[in-house]
Amino acid sequence: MGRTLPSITIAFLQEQQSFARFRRALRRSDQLALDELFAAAHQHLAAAAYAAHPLPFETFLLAMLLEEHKQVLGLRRRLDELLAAQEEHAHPE
Amino acid sequence: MGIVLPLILRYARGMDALLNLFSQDGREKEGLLYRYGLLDRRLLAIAAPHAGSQVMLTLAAYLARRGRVRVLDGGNRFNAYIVARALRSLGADDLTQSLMRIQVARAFTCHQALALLEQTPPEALPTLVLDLLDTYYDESVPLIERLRLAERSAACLRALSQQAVVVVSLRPPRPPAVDPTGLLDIILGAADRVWLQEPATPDEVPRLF
Repeated sequence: MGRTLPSITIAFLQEQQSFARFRRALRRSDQLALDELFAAAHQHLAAAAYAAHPLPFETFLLAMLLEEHKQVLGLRRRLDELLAAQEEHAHPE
Repeated sequence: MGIVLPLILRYARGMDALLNLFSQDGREKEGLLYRYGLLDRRLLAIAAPHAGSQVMLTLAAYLARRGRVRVLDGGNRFNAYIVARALRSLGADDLTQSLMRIQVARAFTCHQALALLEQTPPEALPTLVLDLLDTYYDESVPLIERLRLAERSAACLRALSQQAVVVVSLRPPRPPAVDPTGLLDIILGAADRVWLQEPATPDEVPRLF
């Protein structure tokens, strides 16, 4: 009966809405980057709900960092592959 | 009708003065809290749009830092996220511990609201009652019954306030200037002190001619 807390989706939308003025003041390219950050956090709403943190925005920030780090790991792996290929090309045995 | 309000502090716009209380430091804040009766054995009432939710939740956070606090929610207005944010802004290190000191009970009908008040043990714990009259505005219950329940609720609130501070928040029915039911007057009449927020009036548009 009733609810004890807003759902994590509503909490997410409220947090996103609270940055509407900040977003509006950004230039267009930065707005798109910010939207990507929030989209990244949105991918982990289920985990954020399970975490049940009293300050959900901290979980959203961590989710953004998580996606960023995944991209860094992917780029690092890609760079290693390219360096290995370059090394092999320079010293073919 | 003939009810003399004990003391009415009117704020034309919002409850900034009350909220600013919590942003002040140290001894000065303690003095102001005593001055406003927030630490005494009193029954305080806040009548405001949205039942002064922001003020009440900030007050819950402040009291939770000091010790246990009871929250009786009559309008489903308790939002733990807002309380957590308020605790963080008040500099609470033990966020979870502070939140665990808040005991929340909710009511969804006016009969449940009265039962909640009657079953609340008279302990020396501060009690916050959020949007008490929300369930009393339910027109499916006869007005005479609601008035009777409101009278008994007011008596319960008075009894609880003999042990520790009780702050009750109320939302005037629409239109806010008129309460045809008289429910608001019953609770305000029982209070030792009332904060009454006047509805914000829109800025007057300057005329060209």
